[in-house]
Amino acid sequence: MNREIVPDLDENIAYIEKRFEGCADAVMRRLWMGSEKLEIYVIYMDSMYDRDFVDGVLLKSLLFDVTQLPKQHAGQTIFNKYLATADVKEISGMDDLIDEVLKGNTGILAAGMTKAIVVSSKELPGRGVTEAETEVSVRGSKESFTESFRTNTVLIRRRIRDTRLKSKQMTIGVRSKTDVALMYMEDLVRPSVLKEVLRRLERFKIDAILDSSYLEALTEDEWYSPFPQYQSTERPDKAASALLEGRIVMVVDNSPMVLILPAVFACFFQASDDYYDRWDAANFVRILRYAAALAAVLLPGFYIALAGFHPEALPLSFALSFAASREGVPFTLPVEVIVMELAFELLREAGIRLPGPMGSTLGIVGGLIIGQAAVDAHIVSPVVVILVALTALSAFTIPNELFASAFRMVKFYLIIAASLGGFVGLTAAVLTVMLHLSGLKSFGVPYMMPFVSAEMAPDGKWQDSLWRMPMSRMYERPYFTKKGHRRRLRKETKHDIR
Amino acid sequence: MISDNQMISRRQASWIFVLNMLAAGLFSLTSVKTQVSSVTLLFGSLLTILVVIVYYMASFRVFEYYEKSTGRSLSGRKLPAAILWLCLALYFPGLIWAMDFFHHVIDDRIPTAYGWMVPVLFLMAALIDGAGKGIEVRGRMAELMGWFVCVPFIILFAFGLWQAVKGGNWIQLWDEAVQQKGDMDVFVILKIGFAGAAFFLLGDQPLFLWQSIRNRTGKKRIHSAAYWSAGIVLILSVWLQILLLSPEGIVREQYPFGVILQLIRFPGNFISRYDIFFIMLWMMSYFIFAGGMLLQIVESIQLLTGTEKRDKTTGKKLALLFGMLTIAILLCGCYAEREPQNRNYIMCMGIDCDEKGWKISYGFPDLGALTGTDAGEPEPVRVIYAPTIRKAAEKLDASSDKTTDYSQMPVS
Repeated sequence: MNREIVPDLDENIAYIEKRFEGCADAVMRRLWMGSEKLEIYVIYMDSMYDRDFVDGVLLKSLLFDVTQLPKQHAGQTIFNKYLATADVKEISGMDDLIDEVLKGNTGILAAGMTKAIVVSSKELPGRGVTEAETEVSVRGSKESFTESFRTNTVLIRRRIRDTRLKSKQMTIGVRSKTDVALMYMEDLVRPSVLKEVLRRLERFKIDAILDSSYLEALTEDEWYSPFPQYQSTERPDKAASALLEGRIVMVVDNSPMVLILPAVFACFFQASDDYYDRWDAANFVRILRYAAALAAVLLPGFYIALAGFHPEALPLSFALSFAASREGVPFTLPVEVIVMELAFELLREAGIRLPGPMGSTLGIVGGLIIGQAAVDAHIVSPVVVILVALTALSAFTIPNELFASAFRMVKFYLIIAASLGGFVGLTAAVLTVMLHLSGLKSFGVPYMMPFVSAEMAPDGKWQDSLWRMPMSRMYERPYFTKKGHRRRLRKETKHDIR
Repeated sequence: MISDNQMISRRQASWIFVLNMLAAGLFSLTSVKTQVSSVTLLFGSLLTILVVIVYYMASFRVFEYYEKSTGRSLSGRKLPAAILWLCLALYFPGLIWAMDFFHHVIDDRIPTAYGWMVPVLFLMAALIDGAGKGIEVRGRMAELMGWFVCVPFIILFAFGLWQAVKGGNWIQLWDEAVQQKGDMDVFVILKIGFAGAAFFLLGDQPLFLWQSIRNRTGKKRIHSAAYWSAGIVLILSVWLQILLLSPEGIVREQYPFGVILQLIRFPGNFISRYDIFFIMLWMMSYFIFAGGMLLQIVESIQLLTGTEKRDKTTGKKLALLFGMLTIAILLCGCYAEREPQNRNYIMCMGIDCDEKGWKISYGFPDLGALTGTDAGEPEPVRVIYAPTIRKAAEKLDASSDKTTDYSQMPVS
């Protein structure tokens, strides 16, 4: 229950001090203001506040500038006249006050007042806006999101200076009280999707939200799916672009990854550079990415099925090369492929955990030395080394890390299926994956849209999916946008007006 | 939300129709058992196409007329119990028939040690498709499968035809394929034609599709292109069956040349060489077909028992069962797999006959030169005397620890 602030300052102080008992980082001090010696109580968290502003401006103004206070409504006078900032608010609940203080704001209680003054003074330690690391763009903006909630919303707002960009802010997490902002374009978002997101955010209670991935896991449609049903990005331009397509962006405090929803299969193949490069080059790369994704998931299974079960479908030179390269290898074909794939996964995992320069050294050691040595020792065949390298290379072309992980998981499933039944097993496994993808939805939007249910999607669905049209021909927003608001490009030339 | 549950678009319905027809093309594989002549099989398939298309078009006209004259929509209406019972009476035996048939196809074309497991596994997956998610997912799946199946199917067919013509073997291939005893048999044509149509209709009845189609313009028909493309797909698939399986001599070893053809799989014989890819495509269409059959059984049962509200745990239970079956397959051990280095590729073969019987010479690749090791056969050519070609092959098998593989032998 949220305890009310009472006029008796001592009672309020006793409550606050009891709540903050043992919290060495809380700074609490009783002060007297003006000639009437009005008793006030200031509280903030150490190192979470802007020292220059609070000590140098706010407290100085309160202690030395206030000369005379009226006997009645002294607090209101302070609020209206003596606070050297516009970002202040009044709070009547004690728990709300504590929450604000824990955010880094400064709370002021005055004797005889039933409301506390909260001055926005937070200055949390954190890194500045740095260059994007996992979604690098050659031509586009280099900025990336940070752990600071407000910095992230600012980075988006800076790109869309429109009052129709709304930000619905809420606090989630019983203990962490993490700030979450739902950002959307008021006129473009589908109301049903927005309503559904809000419903899902309200249907659980959790002690802490430490990263945006928590929210993703708690609100997604199918928890057991390896495929992400949210798009996560560290690029503000990508988030802004999604907003302009009528999608919703979820910013979570302490997380440098912002969530975008709904997300469909095709979204994960879109990179920022696709829109900054010339359309022909961008399309070439995007189609290559789709082909690479197929290779990443199918290549090892296909090799096992071909070499182990159906060599008749191989050209003679390939069949003999495979036979020759396997001479003396002690492992069976599936075991060899699985062992090498796992070895690569180990290298990858170790490379991530190690610091930068050591990570690249590990790549050289693992890739060149161990790989070469294993081939020379006839432990693995060179064909499998090439295969694993090609598969890894293909997986890295997928722009989204989570999506690439899903492909890696599915790859092992297909390897096992192909090891058991050759192309029959592989087909059965591919069918189950496709069945799963056909049934998957992200906030009501079929995951395979527009490759399926295309008739139900509006016009313009092919403008940006497997390929993208030239910018001057991308007239329509995609199917995420609210009906009646799908035009995004209008030309002034009579001939071109659509 | 963009999509409504349990409704499909005209395009999705059209793809379901085409894929069902391709699955019905698989039915002509029964010719392996009955040994009907190719011409009979072709005419039988034409009858299948005619029956299915006329039945569908007529049914859709009737439904349209009914909806217009009465002002009632058939979508979402509960079917009378008598029709549901009839469905169940037809679909349960049909299910067993289809499974048995699919089992034979797998057994015939792919050497596996788990004969029944593959069709059961497929049906389980189809059941999850049908019972767990309903027609909406099936529609989407059909749309995806449509592109994945039909486009490669036609490309493979064209590629194979080009290979056969380029290889100069197409005349022998064709002669071998159509060289059969017996003329056209009207009774068999009728039998094959109607059985094929029945096979198709097990997948989807017009009423079920009509009920599920949603269209913004109000037109509920299947796209007209689906009718003729389904016909073409069926004819292509039957033609493939004839080329692939019909030669009578192959099965009973009446024509030694046929036996060699089957063993050798010479480069021009694209069908034997790439048949696994065709089988894969057929399996995919069969999946859509089986999904429809099971979906209708489940729907009928639910309507009859009054449990129309979907049980959310059904899908999970079925998925669990599916996993258990997969493990059962896993425990069967490893089967048709042969390591590439354990295959004894025959590079060339000479056949002669003298007073001692057949004299067969086998040539092997020089793997030692390729690898720099002592891999491969110690002698490049081996000569075997035997009373028949088959016996010679058996002798060769017995003399080596590797599996003899004729699949890479070029014949010109």
